[in-house]
Amino acid sequence: MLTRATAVNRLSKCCGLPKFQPWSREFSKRAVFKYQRIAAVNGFSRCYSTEQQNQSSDFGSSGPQDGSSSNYTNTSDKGITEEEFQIKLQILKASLNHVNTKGWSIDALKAGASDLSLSESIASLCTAYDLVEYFQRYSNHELDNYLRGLEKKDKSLYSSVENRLKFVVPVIDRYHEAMAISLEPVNVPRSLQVLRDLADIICIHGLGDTSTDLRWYTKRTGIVSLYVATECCMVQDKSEGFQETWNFLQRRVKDYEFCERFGASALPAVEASVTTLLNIIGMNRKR
Amino acid sequence: MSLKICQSCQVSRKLLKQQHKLSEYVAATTLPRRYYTNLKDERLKQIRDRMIRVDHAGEYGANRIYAGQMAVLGQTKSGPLIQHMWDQEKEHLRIFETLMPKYRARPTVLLPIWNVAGFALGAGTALLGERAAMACTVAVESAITDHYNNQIRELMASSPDLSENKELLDYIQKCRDEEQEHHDTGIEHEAEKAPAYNALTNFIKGGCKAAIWLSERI
Repeated sequence: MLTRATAVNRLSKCCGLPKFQPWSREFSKRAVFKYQRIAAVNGFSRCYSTEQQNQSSDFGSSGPQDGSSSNYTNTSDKGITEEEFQIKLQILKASLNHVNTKGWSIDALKAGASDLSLSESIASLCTAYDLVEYFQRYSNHELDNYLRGLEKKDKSLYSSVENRLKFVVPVIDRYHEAMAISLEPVNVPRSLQVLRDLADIICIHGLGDTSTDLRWYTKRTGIVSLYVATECCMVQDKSEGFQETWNFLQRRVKDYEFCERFGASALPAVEASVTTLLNIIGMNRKR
Repeated sequence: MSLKICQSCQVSRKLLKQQHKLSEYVAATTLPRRYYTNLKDERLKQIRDRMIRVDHAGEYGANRIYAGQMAVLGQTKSGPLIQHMWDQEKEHLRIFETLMPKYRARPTVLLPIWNVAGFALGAGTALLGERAAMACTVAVESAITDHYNNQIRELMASSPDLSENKELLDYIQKCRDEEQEHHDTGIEHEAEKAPAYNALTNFIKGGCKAAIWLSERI
């Protein structure tokens, strides 16, 4: 890793700022951060891009240069520039390699930043939840890719959820932390958004769903609850090869199918009475 | 990812973690599709989601309005005319129903409300007479044409590359033109001679704008 002074000098060089004097009084963490923000806005990612390519990280090494893996954004990104956003993505991607040792924390982000030979303090661009969300979106995106490549007969609700859960396996020891972070009240809207994306993918590929009415909501709610329940089961699962989890998932899928069938048989009864009523006032006349 | 992992899950948990680093989960097959890798694309995605949702709701509501009018005026001389406009609305609804899964947009939660409200509006104005029904059409269609025009402007401004939004733009333009046609048909059929024309149309326009505002958000 570069020392802080060298890093800052590089930054200042590439964006035309005066040279940073380590002995000057300004040499504080805060000043470094200030410089980095300016540099980020001025697009220092371009200056660094060659180095980043050499230091291809473990996670998603086929990823960001072709831009396929970083399927990530959130509502807190409204004020930031495109360059800052790309830097964030790079840091988050590198940080995922440190999740197993350092947890979903600012420490992992710092380690990720120093992997990219950036100063650690630039990690404060991201929060711990950004890391979690990046992981979730990354996995969703890869699942989407995978399901897209399958034949239609190979796709099912069970296999989609199973494949999604397998992304969690490498970080399973720390995954409960991620679940806790995403349940913090501040993060709930964004984690709901991620879950909605996941449910969308599973519905479209696993169920072949194209509904555009309220069934859109019922189906996705069902799938989200099924997924989250299985996730909770997986975190506690100590069995060989997560056998318990897959059994649990199979039971939940059966439940889901039962609910669908039940809904399909019970709804007409309710619907019929409503429709009769509507027919009486002539609402459903077809022409 | 791929099949390697499916088999590996039978292996014990510890082995699995050693053998399969995260990098092996990366799918080798990248399909030709645009992914949201930068802010601009993500913003475009949000704009499209909102637009398709509100347009779908609008066409759904319009369908119900014409259904309401037909329930009352189906047997009168303006029946075939309303039927013709209704058929066009059905086509519009079908367009947005196919676009919705394609762009992964979400339907609005308020659909059941628009169902009943639209029918009530259609039937209610039709009960006031044919001219009032036409005034209702004029009000609704002018609000919707304005709304489509705003959308087209927003889409054009959202991205310098027009080809990105070409499909959506084309469909919205097609719908906009036909709605304008309905509006003109309404005027031709003496909509302006309806009782309390100004009050009626302004009331309906306000309602439409409120419905659009709500459907964009919920």
